[in-house]
Amino acid sequence: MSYVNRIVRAKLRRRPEPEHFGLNIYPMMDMLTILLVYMMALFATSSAAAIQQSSELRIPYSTSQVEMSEALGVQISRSGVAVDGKPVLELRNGIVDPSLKQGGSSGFLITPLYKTLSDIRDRKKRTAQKFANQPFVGNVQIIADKRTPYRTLSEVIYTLGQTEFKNLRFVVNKKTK
Amino acid sequence: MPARLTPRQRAYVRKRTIVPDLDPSELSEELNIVPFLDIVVNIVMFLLMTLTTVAFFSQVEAALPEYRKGGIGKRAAADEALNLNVTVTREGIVVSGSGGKLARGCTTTAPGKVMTVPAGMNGEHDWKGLTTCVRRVKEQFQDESRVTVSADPEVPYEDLISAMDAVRGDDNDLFPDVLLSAGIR
Repeated sequence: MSYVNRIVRAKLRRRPEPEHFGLNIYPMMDMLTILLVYMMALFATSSAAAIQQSSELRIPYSTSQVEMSEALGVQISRSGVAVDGKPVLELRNGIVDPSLKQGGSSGFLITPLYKTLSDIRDRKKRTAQKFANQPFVGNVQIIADKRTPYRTLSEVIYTLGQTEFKNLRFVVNKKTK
Repeated sequence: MPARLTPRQRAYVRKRTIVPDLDPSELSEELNIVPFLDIVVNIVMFLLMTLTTVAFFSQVEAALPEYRKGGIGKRAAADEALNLNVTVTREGIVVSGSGGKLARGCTTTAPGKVMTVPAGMNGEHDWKGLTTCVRRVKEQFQDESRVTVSADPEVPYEDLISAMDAVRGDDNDLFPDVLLSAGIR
């Protein structure tokens, strides 16, 4: 049996060492990880990432080349109005129910929207008092469906004006010239 | 002199000297990061696609008209100002200023119900015609940059954006400071 074991050991000694011929993917992984972190940081500061177009929300096209900036988001779809992603009131074919307006059908001030915006304004003003580098400037980003009637839009804008949100930025799809 | 091996001994030698077919990553005795790499590549692809969508958005800036207390001097200055107004209706676009409503051609004013830039047969608006019209106004009021845009209640938001694009000009060279009014006439 010792003779057989000697043969086994001799054969094992003769066996070549396995070669390391695989591609070194560590640099690629480093690169991808850096890219991933950069993109996630970019998305964390981009409010536009939240805009999802659908049959209820089709954004119009414009030749404007102004880049998006950070502001309070007011979304007007065919079925409702949302502030910072939270639904505030429902619309019927893009029209505000007269019972939700101060003064009925001829009114412009949308009561639930006014209440929500007033709360946000007060909160932002409190923050502005504490932090001098975050002043309240009244910027608002309007993301509206292209079929929204001007009446509804002007009611929302009027309510925004009453709550001191006066700098309007309409989000549009960039049209190539 | 080596002895001849029996079949049992040959089988034993074969069994002990067999080379296992290992994965390269197992041979190097390192952590297998290939599945992790697959996940990262997928996430990067997804983020790149979403980033393309984000890059297609831009914004149109506008403001609300401000209520100001007027004095005699301020009132006189306001009278001299152009106060350009553009109103979008179903029938067409009305361009007006302190001097009155502009007639077709945008060179003279006209009383009564006037459509400065009438809509086409199918109801589509002539935005290029509006740009041409406000360009003529701009030639006479070079220092003015403010325009108030309004529309009839049933006019869709899309037309409002087109009107704002038309009055702003291709390179923001006409009336880039847009104010929005409630559109009550």
